[in-house]
Amino acid sequence: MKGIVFTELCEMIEKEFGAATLNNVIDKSDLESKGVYSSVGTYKDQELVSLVTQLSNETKIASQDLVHAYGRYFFDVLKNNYSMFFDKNDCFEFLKSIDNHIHVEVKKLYPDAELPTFSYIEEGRTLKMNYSSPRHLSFFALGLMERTIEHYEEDIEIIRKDLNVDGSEVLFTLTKK
Amino acid sequence: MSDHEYKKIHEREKKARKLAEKILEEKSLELYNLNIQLQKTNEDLEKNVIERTKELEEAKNTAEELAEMKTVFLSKMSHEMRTPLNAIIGYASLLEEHDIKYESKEILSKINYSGKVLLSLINNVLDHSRLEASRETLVNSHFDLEQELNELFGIFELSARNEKLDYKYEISDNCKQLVSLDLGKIKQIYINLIGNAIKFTEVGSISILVSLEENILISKIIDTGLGISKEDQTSMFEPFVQINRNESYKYKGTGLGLSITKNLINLLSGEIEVESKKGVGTKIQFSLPIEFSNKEVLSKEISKEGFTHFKSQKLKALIVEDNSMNADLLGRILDKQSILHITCVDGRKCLELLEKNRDFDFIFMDLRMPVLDGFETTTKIRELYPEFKAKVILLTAEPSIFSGNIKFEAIFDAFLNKPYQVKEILNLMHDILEK
Repeated sequence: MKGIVFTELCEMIEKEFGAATLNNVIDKSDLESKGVYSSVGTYKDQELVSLVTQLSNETKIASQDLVHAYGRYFFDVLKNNYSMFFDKNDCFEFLKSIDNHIHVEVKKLYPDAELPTFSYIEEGRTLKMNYSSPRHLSFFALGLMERTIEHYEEDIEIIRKDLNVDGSEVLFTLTKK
Repeated sequence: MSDHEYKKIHEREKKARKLAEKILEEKSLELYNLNIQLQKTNEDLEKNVIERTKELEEAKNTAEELAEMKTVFLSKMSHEMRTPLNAIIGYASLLEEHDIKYESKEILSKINYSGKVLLSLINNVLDHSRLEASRETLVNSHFDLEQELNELFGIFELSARNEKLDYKYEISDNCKQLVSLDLGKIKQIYINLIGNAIKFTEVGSISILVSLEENILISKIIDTGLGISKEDQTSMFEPFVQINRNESYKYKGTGLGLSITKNLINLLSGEIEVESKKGVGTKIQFSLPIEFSNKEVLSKEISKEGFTHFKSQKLKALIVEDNSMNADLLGRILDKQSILHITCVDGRKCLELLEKNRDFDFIFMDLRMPVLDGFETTTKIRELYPEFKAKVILLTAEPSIFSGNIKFEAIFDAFLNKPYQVKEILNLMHDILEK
């Protein structure tokens, strides 16, 4: 997984729960990288799982909720660092550009990046997005989508539905109200 | 240090890290874009290479087509020129034998000589184009090496003597061998080289030394002639190059002889070397691998004057020839031998005649004829009358058609190039009858 996911997670933990919690989480997570992250590096997926699990232990907040919150937080990171992708007119247009534009650009920078794939069906006021990733981070994606809607200041309802038991295939149905 | 100070340092460090990461990302993107550019340049280059290769291939094909057209044109022209030349040389030769005034005889001999020079020029152009187009193939025959070389070198004695040159040749004893080689091509090599030596030597001598070392025939032709400058030695085997340019107005020719010689030697898997000094002379050495033969070779006892004793044999001949002048010329040659003859103007007429009358010893068959050509006519004759014993001689201005062509060799008994000498046709008839 790309380093920016780790650096920004550490940032969020430090900001929301303090430097001591961050140090604790890192110390207890038994990380191969010892928690030394750079946004341009690549680290094992398992480290993210360890960090989130440990953070959940420390804060007594469910892992799923933490990941969801991190998705919301990460949206701002992306918006601040990669403003050029936010030139779309509305939320659907932006979401539809993820798979065939944003991820293409990400691949240019990081050819080894493993990205989730999205397929889309748009019917009137509804956009169905099919999330597919072996990392099971659909709650992270949910957080990102929610913040996108807020960014475009639209009133859109999101329904998240698991398509399989392990959560690697998830259907998001977004409906404009 | 207080917590506040630590935090400030931490924030600074973090900022510095993020800055470094940003720079790295920008560099990565730059590298990616450069890579894409490089890929595109590569693709463009490859496309250019493919296009250029295609263009070159097309140019090569066009050049080959043009060369092929040139060969066909030269071959056709040469055929067209040989046909009337046959009549000129033939009639002149016939007339020479008439009881005519000395002055007329001299004029006739000049016509005859010029006709032969013209023929040799046409042959050179044709040989050159055939060799250039790699169409020439080897046609081996079995012969006594020493005997053929002796005969060949002897031919030049007279012209060397006329030029007041000391002419001598030496053939080593081990050349008394039966060999299997393309005699025609070997003769042509010697004729070109010895002819040149005589042509370019004004005083002094010409020596020919031939020896055999294992299966390599080594020939040296040494003259005391004009010599060839170092500069000319590099280009002397190129076609249409005449060395000794300043003096060349004195020396006639197409400038093809040496190019043909070199190509013939290559074709025979041989090598040629030149040593020469301007004003001193030239030594040309060439070596040819030869194949020994076990076949019995009939010793040739042919009179150089040609045969004159067909008269008692009451022979009958059929001439199949659409060119009335050539038919008439051949008729006159046969008349002189008291050989009865009839002429047909094409293949169909010939077949019609043979239906009624097959009392012939020879059929002289032209190749290119209207209605039915010589090849088809002879094929039909062989099919219809397998018992018919007449010897069919192909008379053609395209000798290459016959050489090594199994289809032709199967149906014709012999062939003769047009234009032919009176003695050539008589010798050939004699040889066939003897077989």
